[in-house]
Amino acid sequence: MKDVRNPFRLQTAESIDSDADFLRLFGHGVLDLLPKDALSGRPLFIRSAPGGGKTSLLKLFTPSVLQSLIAMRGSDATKELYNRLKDLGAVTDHDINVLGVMLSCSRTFPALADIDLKPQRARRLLLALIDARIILGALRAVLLARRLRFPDDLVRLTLTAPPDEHIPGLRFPCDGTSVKRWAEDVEQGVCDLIDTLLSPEGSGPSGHDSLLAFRLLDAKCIQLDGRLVETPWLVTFDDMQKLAATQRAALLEVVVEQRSRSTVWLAERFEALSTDELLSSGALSGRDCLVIALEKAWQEKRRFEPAVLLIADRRARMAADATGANFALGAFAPTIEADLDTPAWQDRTASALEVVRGRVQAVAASKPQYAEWIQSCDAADGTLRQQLVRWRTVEILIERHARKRQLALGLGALTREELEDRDESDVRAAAELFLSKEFGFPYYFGLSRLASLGSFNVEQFLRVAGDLFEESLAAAVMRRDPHLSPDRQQKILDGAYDARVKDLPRRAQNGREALRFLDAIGQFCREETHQPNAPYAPGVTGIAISMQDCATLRNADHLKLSPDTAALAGVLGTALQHNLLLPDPDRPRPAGRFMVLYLNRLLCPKYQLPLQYGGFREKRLQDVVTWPTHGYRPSRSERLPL
Amino acid sequence: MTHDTMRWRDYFLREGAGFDDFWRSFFAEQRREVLLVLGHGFDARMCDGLEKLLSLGGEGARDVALIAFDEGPQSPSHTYADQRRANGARIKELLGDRGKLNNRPITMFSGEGRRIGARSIAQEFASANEFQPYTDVVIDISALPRGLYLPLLAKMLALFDLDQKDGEARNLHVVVSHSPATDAAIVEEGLEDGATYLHGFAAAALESEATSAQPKIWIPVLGKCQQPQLERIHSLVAPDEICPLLPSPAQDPREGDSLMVEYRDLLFDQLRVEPRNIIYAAESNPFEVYRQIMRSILHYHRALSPLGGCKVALSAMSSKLASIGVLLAAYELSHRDPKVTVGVAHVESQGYRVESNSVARSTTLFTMWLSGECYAA
Repeated sequence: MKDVRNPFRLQTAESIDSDADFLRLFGHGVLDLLPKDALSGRPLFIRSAPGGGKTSLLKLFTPSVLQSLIAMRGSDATKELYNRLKDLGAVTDHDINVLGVMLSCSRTFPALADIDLKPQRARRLLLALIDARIILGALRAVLLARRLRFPDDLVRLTLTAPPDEHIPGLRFPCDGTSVKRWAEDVEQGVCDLIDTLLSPEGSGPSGHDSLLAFRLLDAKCIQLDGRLVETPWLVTFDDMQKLAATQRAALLEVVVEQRSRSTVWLAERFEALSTDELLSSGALSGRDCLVIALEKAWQEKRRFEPAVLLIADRRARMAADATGANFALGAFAPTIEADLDTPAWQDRTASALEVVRGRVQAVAASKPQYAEWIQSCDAADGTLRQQLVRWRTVEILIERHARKRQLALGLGALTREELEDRDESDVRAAAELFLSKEFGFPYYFGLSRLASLGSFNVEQFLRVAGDLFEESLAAAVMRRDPHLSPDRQQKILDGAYDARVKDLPRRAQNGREALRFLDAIGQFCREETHQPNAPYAPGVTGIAISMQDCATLRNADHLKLSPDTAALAGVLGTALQHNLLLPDPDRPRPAGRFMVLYLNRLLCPKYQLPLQYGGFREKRLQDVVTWPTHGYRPSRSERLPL
Repeated sequence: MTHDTMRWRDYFLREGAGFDDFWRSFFAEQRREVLLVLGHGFDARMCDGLEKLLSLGGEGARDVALIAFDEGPQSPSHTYADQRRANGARIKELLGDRGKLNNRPITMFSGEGRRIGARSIAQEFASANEFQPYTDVVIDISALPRGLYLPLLAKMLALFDLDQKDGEARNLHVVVSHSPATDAAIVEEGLEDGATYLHGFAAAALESEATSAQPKIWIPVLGKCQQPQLERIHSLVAPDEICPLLPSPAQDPREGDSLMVEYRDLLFDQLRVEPRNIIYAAESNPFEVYRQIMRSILHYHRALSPLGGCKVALSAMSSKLASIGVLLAAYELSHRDPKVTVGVAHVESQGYRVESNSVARSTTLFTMWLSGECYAA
């Protein structure tokens, strides 16, 4: 492998040279998201935003990677990964237990849809191309799994005829070389048809009626040195969203209809406004299938933070290995300072404490019902920072109580117990955020918040962590302290917005409007969050649109009649495709079912928002339809003083 | 294949005053029936070539095929609809009764909204028959997007090569009104989510599973502000070797250094490009770009032929002039024996935005003669 100065920059599976390095850098946490029977034969949909880790997951199950893993199973870096895959049934003590064939749907298939062919012929050619590629992959997988050489050892393979099947152009029994030649010819025929500058109609192969490759694999017709290959198959389709709609429908239909015994995994980008059609279209009705939405699964299982911190440590270790034993950064976590209780912050904390305490005491002086709360604060132990947060929390609680009291006309004294009841972690989190805004304390620092800024997206986490690591690397080279202080971390992370979001107009379709829409959501959330009584503590970080409105955004007939709604649908599509909004669909609320659209956490520092989820406000389409064009204009009721 | 057998080893390129001298004498030599193919865009440079050619005299038709392309309702190019209309009127005014004006609309999107412009423009000029009345076909690429003029030129070259086999010697010229300052001020906006291989060159063949073990070489011709395109093309190509091509000599002597600074993180930290792989070629000579690309590809092809050869992806991310070099290399290698699989990877965009209107209109006309009389054996 070429020298890697900053391994955090190796963000995709494709950018890692060797299987051994891929395994060393792979974070096994994502395997926790797979069901235990993931290899049982049921189709499995894996969905996530780009950079969610789908391709890396599929690559893990390819024969060459699994072989490398078995060879490295004793190594500390891969022992845990090996054990997890053993539990899943992908490997045994000495052998591969699943033959993986990985196909990328972005390669050639979309171009096939662009040729002006009759639908039936286009479908036959699509199936022929998939067949050819699965069979070529299967031949390779069988040999690599047995540590043989591809294509030199193909002669050791024999294929017999699957029962009741005729595969056009292939005569059984035949050896692996003949099958390879057949598959290459089929693929070449389709590729020539796509690449020709002449009219494609009438030329090229005739194509296939169904996916013959699955029948061949299911029928166990492959023998190696005269012995049946009985290892189960795993066929994975990556980037399914790249297929044309007709192609996707055709593929799903044959995968479902044929009820293959081989396990099929289908990975695709999650597009909240379109992907659910896939399941509601009837294509999979009646068929038992599994669906994993990676972001949601990370969130539900609360496994993202440990998973990405493990990945970060592995990359830091690789940098240390690459630069030699003298390099100080053998792990990532120790370089990230996570404490504002250090001497460097004492003066600023003390003066902030004086201001906040003075403010609260002034209010309490005229309102004796808060006396016990003040005494409680005065008596509380803890560091200066803890005291400051406590006083600011009480200030929020007094503000809340004062507003409620105006409604309820309650005048009774408040007890210490009532304070304890109300002093919840959400309010403390809001207090921290308010303190950072008022006194300039850093807020976006520390490992936990760094992981949150990843927005459940491994690639995004690697980018932001890589920015921090870059700074530590530079410091180490210059023989300075490589530890990053909280304020330095915040400064670097602030820049992440500029690097990833600001140039959206260039990077994405409808990018200018999408950026304005995101800015509107950000401003709206900031207003809702930074109210003195912190009504949605720790804050609002998203909006929610009813599922009915979502249906309107998908209704082609309605969009034709309403250009504004069509534009909003396009903008939302862009924001979702680029993972700038994190969708949480079908969420029950008193007013019905809603799709929550959380801001990507990378946008939160720009609008001084907390990183927790759960805070959102419902919005109607008519409220937000002008946001992409005119930006955010607060309604009168929303114009509350900050 | 050696350097000596490169098709465009001896080439024809004129610029500025040389452009005028050549076309004046060329038109004076004999009657020339000329078809000028140009794009209908908002860039005022689209009229420069026609205006100049009409001013240089000569007898014969001066017909125009005006390529109209609609980049979709959300395209930022619509901001300049008035300029586009003005350019259309100017073309009509310039042409007067000197020749026929033929509008050629190009379908840019399929029914599903997929981009099919490259395939459409290649189909628009389906056969050589429509060029029968002409002695010379001039393609003015000044206002055509890369995703259209590269497949168009590939198709033209293929048609004209077939013609030559049948004994015809029609001339194919490319003209461009070149202005680095204007090019820098016009930025692509709304990039497609992913890169694709352009129709007209190897596309499906590059993605073949059968040849997936062959190493892939990627030669991006670097220009400014192309980071998203580079990332997306890299993701498409997944190359084993990357050989960035930098402009040197260039109008700005530090151009190459600036590009290295701009892409340092991407090229060296993320993609781990070997500094010794960097190729240099003159900024304003497409044939020099072509030669350097050819040399590199042939070198890799020779070195890797014992292992089954290699596949090559080129990307033109710099000026239009340099992209002609990419076109020539990709075309030649795909049409020779032994063939090398060469594709052109590209990221389409929703349209263009002019970042600064204060750019001085200082342009130079270039003409390149790609096929016909001057290459006849």
